[in-house]
Amino acid sequence: MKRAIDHINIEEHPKKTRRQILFADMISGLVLLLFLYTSISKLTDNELFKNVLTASPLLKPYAGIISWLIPSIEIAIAILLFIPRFRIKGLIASVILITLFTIYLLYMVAFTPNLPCSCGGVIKLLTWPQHIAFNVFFVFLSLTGIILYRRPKSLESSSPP
Amino acid sequence: MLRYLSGIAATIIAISLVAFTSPDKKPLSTFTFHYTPATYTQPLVQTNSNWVSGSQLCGGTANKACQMEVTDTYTHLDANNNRVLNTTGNVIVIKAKTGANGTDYVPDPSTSTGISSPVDKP
Repeated sequence: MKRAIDHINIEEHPKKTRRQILFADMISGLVLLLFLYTSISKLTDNELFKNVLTASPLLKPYAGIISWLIPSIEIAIAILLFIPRFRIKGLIASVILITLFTIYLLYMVAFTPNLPCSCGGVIKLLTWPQHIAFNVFFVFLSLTGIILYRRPKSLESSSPP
Repeated sequence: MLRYLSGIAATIIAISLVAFTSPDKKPLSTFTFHYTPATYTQPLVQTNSNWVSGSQLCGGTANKACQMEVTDTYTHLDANNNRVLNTTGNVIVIKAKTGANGTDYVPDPSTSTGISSPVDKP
């Protein structure tokens, strides 16, 4: 019998487990909100996003591709987070992507702190350290979501067939 | 269906946030263009492609009006992601007059949208 969070019907679970799944769903919603908001912001003002990317010596040669690739990946992750059966995959992808963003931010802080942020929407108003803290918070949030989704699975597998 | 609720709510909030927080379109910034040829003649000065963003050379000649600040309205990125002056649409019109000795030039701000002042810049 296939046991996966994808097919969990929360009504079949004890109250505590149900709360965990609902909490994980809320986390998925928050991460979805973040990705959807920033991706739409980047797409609606793609020329500005590309301009800012070209100001970065690291990204300048690839600015044209990156200006479309990043929002596309973010929308793909948002779709994964929207569909319950793909939410773990969406959260794992978000951890990877936000970690990559954070590595880039650390590079920017270290080498070119005066450059503008190529982030979407109001997030670009954050300072570099604030942005790094923001990213770390969302990485931990996503990891918490992954753990919460996996826990009901382990509870299921420990129950008698 | 209950499990889609957070996704639906997040989607609605995201779209609303974008709708209400998108800033007005303002010029990104200004870009500094420098005249790069070593010789300063009227036709050369009036050729937009001789003005290059990011260059500091001014053709190796000091005390010339070889620098101008241009808003992004008048520029675009070329295929190599270099900032260049527009050739269509919002185009900078650089006008120069031949100087007194016949080989020099002075900017003509009355008919130019490019060099705004005849005052020499370093």
